[in-house]
Amino acid sequence: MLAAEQILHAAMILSVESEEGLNEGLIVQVQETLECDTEDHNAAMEHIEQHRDNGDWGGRSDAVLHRSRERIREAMNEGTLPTDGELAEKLHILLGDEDDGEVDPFAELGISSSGGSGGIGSAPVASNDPLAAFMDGDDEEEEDMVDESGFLASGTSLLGDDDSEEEVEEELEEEVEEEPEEEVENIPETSTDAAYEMLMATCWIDGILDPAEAKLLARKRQELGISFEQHLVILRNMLERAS
Amino acid sequence: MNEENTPFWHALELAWCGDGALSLHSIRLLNAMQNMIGLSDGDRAQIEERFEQDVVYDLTRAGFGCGDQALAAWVGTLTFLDDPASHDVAAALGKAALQFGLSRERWSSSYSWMGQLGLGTSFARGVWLEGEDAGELARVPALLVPAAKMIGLIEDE
Repeated sequence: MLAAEQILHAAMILSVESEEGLNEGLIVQVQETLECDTEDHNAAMEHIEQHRDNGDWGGRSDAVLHRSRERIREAMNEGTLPTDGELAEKLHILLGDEDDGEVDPFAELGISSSGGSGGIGSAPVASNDPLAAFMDGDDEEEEDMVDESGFLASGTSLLGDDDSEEEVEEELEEEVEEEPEEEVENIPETSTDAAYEMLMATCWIDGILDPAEAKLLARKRQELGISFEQHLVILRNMLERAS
Repeated sequence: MNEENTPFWHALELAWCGDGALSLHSIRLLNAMQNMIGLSDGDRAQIEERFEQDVVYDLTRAGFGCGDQALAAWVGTLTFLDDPASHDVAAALGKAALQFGLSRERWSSSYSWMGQLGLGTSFARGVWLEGEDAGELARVPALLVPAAKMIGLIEDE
């Protein structure tokens, strides 16, 4: 179950990135519904200002918006946010549900999306997945424990949620598995380094590295046979490209 | 090179920014520091050039280089590098940074700082949980206080 701060954060991201820009009236409504205080609002806004990067979100804007929408949908499914009424209508507009305007990234890439992507709560199938190297044998066990929204571990640490390390780790793995479509263009070949870099970028998507993410990366280095020196080189290259 | 996030840049700030002048004593101290941290002439030149452009040209002289006192104290803290535990402390600082929550920017600046002191790899091991578990950071040595501030472990006064 998502924390109220995470939902507020997601709504604020979507509002900020909407054509009209931040709709404070809507955010106040969401905030009151979620019983979040000003501190939560300010923390979320601070995070957005720090990482928004003029809407580029460090090159990950699609992923950030996608996860924000998923969070709002999940909150509506769980009843944390209303599914009808004035606020719900505004949220649907924010989600782009009114004209089903959500872009299917698989279609955009000319890849047929097998496995029921797009439905609320459905888990996209990672076929043709350049990150197959990251798939663990114990996925079945993990699936039940993973939050479908998958939205960063990070929001979590930033907003002070207390997810367990294991949970965050699993969320991140699932997150990477769910999103090959967003990175396919950037990775011509399924190289171990590129896949590791993608995982590292995902870990840092919210701008903050936390212990669970570092632990996951350390484990992946071992599994993939990536030395620590290689890790530092990959990291440096990634940061240079981002800057 | 991330010039402004290095101990040598910090030393230049101490030397110049007290009163907008550089004393002969400060020049000697900077030379000593360069030797102590094994900074190449090329890297030093790159830092000093950037420092001149970014800082010195905007200074207004108001004295005769009183920054040398603060610089002398700062150079004195470099003896920490002779401490056999310095690498362990660097790793512990890295771990503390991770626990605090490390942004890309803070990683880049603190890693750059630690790297110039020869402690970059140990610091990185602490951050990225590589190898043996780094211990807890009991206190921050004076030499690493600026790095701890970059990370956010210590608040600027």
